[in-house]
Formats: sequence, C-alpha cells, structure tokens
Amino acid sequence: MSAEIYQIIAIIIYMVAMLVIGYYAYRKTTNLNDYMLGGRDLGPAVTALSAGAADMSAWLLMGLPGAIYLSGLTSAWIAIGLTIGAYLNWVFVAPRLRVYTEVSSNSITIPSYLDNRLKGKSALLRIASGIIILLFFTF
Amino acid sequence: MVAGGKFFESSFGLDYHAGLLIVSAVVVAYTLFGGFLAVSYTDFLQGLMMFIALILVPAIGIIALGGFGETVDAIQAVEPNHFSLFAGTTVLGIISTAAWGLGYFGQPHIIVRFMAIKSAREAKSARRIGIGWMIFSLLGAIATALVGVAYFNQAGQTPLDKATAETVFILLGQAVFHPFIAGLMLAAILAAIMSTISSQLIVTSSALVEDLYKKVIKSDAEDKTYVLYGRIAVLAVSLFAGFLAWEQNETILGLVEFAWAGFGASFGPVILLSLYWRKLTSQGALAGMITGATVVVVWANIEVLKSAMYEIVPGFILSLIVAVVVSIITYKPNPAIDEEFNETNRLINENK
Repeated sequence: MSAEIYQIIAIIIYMVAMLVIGYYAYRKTTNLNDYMLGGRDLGPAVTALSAGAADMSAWLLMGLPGAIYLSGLTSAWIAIGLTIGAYLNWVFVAPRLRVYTEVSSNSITIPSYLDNRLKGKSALLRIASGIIILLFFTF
Repeated sequence: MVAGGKFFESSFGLDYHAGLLIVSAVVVAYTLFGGFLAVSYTDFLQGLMMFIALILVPAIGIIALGGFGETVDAIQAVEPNHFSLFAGTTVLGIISTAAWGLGYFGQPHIIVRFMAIKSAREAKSARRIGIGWMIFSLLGAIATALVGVAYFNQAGQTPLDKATAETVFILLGQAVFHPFIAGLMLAAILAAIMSTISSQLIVTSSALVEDLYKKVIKSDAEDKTYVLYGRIAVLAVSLFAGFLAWEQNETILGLVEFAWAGFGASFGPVILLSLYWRKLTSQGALAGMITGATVVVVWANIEVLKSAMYEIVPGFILSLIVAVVVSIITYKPNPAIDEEFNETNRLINENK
C-alpha cells in the first residue's frame, strides 16, 4: 500500500470516531440545557481539554511551528502571552462564572448571563451581545 | 473552515473545495445532532490527539538525531540565533504579541466551558489539567519546529521557506513515522481545526436561539422546539460560514486574529467587571462592548496603527474605561443585584 492510502485510512478512522461520539451525545441530549451546556455536568478533564482544543486551532500545529522554524524562539512570545492569559482566565473567570451564571436565573449563554446579572430594563444588551457573537464568528 | 480546505489541499493535493466540504460535513453532523455534549467529548478526544502528536513527533525526531544534546548542537550549527528570545524584536513587538493573552476573558467558546463544569470546586483540578495540557502542547509545537531545523539539515534536504514552513510538523511526522501513524498525526491537525469550528458553531447557535429568537420573537415555546431550532441554527450558520469560506480570500491567521481581538475587547472587560464589580450597570456594559468592538474594527483597518500594535490592546483598554465611566454615571442601587452578588461570594467561599 502506498503511504497516501495509509494516511487516508487513518483520517477516515478519525472521522468515523467523531461521528460515533456525535451519535452517542445525541442519545444523551434531551433538553435545551443539555444541547447548549451539556446539562452542567462535565468533569474536570473533559472541561480542561475541551476548552484547550476549542481554543487552539491549526495555529498550534502549523502556524506556531512555522513561525518558530523561520525565526526561532523570538516567535515564542505569543505562546508565553497565551499561557499567562489562559492561566489567569482559569483562576479569575472559571469558578466565579460557573457560580454566578447559575445564581443569575440559571443563564446558559454569555449574553443571557449579562442580561440576568445586570438586570437592565431593555433587552438591548442581550441582543447586542448576541449580534456581536454572530458577527465575529461568521465573518 | 478555510483551514480545513487548505489542509486537504496541501497534504493530499485534494481540491480546496472538496476538503472544505468533507471537513464541514463531519463537523456539522456531530455538532448539529449531539450539541454541546458532542462538542465537548469530541474536543476532549481531539485535545488528546493534539497533545500526543505534539509530544511524539519531536520526541522521535530527537531520538533519530541521536539524543537531546546532539539535537541542540545540530540546531545551533544551522541557526545559531534560534535559541534567543530577543533576536530581531523590539519591546513594542513583544508587548503586541504577548497581548494575545488579554483575549481569553472574552472568548465565548472558551468561557462557556467554565459554565458547564460540574461545580466550581472542580475548576481547580480542571485548571491544572488545562494549563498542563497547554504548556506541554506549546512546548511540543516549538520543539517540533526546532527539531525540524536540524533534521532536514542532516537529511540533506533544502530548508523550508516562508511558504512551506507551516508544514514542518506534517513533514517531520511523515519522515519519522510509518505512514499510518503519520496519518494519525495529520488527523491531529484536523482535530485542532474541527474542535474550534464545532465550539464556535454551538455558541453561535445558542446566541441565535436563546438570545435573539427567544428574546425577540417567541419566549414560550416548548423546550423540545428550542432544541430543534438550535439544530436548525447550527445548519444555517454553517451554510453561511461555508459560503463565505468558499472564496478563500483571507489567510487563516488573519481571520483568527481579528475575531480573537473582537471578542477579547468587547466581552473581556465586561465579563471581568460583571464578576468582580458590583456597580457595573447594563448601560456601562453595553457602552463598553460597543466601544471594544468598534475600536477593534477601526484599528485593524488602519495599516499604520495595525502594524504598530495588535488591535486588542487599545480595544480592551478603551472598552474597560468606557464601561467603568458609564457605570459610575448610571449606577442606581438594586437589592436584587446585591443579593445575587453576595450569594455568589458566599458560594465561592464555600467551594474554596
């Protein structure tokens, strides 16, 4: 078998594994809280690695190595900055956001949390933050 | 999604659009049906794959080069300046790149994970695992590049240039592993791409259903109906994003950089203030968010400013200032807010 065939087989196995996980999760999802927030029942390892994987894109395996290859450790500053930022995020945002979003009318999204937490008279804040999410993620 | 298409194009010579379609179809399928749970479980496995791949590739490379000391010597022989953190950079340049770290507090797809953890008590062990994962993955990525410098030199290959340097992980993996294992290493890149797309899809879908549809149009439908709408939203957003990615008009890093700054500056200061400052008001948060988003969009489009400093720095600072000033002006005591704030403090202390 040629090298390319082996690689394609490996990738197909990976893709199928992802779809199987998707099906398993589908069977476990019954309400909107499950669908949007997994029923707030995830363990620390899944939370930690899934936050990391969601954060890191192809930049981690392609962009960063490419920059280091060309210019050496000078390009490592972004990695240092990111690690400090992620650490502070875990310390200052993680536990408090977990508690506060539940205390504030069990909010399941960031815009609904801001709305419930700040108790503004109009829905403007919630709508504006929903639109910001839509815009920056799709464009 | 652009990254998914480019990946297949560069590693299999497959058409950009075919690659885009394959990657999107699989991501959309598991996100649409499995929701946040599927996104979390797949992200977990994908995170594991990325971690293992980034440790194994440089480790086997170092063994192939004869050991750690030999590898360092070999790198220095080719690129004597590669071990310096400061070669060819300025203080402003360092601040501008390290400022990426400021973006974390406002990334919806990352902080939403914090909301889904079983309890606040678990956040500490999650933090240790998460930061450990990150440090070793980043060190692995850096080591891969440095080992690549020495390995390709010893193998007598021409060094990679600007256009091909980003494939150093792929090429090194293919050089040191059996093709099947190298295929799994390639899958790790797909894992990195797909885990980010799926998280963004589910967050965008939740904003559409929970915050726009429910709030503006209809708030009394059955829960099952909203789940269905959530699925429709995932599909709609992916079709739209796929449509935009079809033309492939932006570089991958350019897209990531802009969105990262946008979220970091518009949500970051507001999230931090909402958690720690009782007197943040709805008007202050709104003004801060809009300021952050606007500064990022304007700054990123003015070449002189953009090349001097990453747009997240002015965006974050101005957003913070505006949120605080407007809150002070509009502040009115509200017992319901105080009660929730105190309750949060109490629960945090209890869970220490």
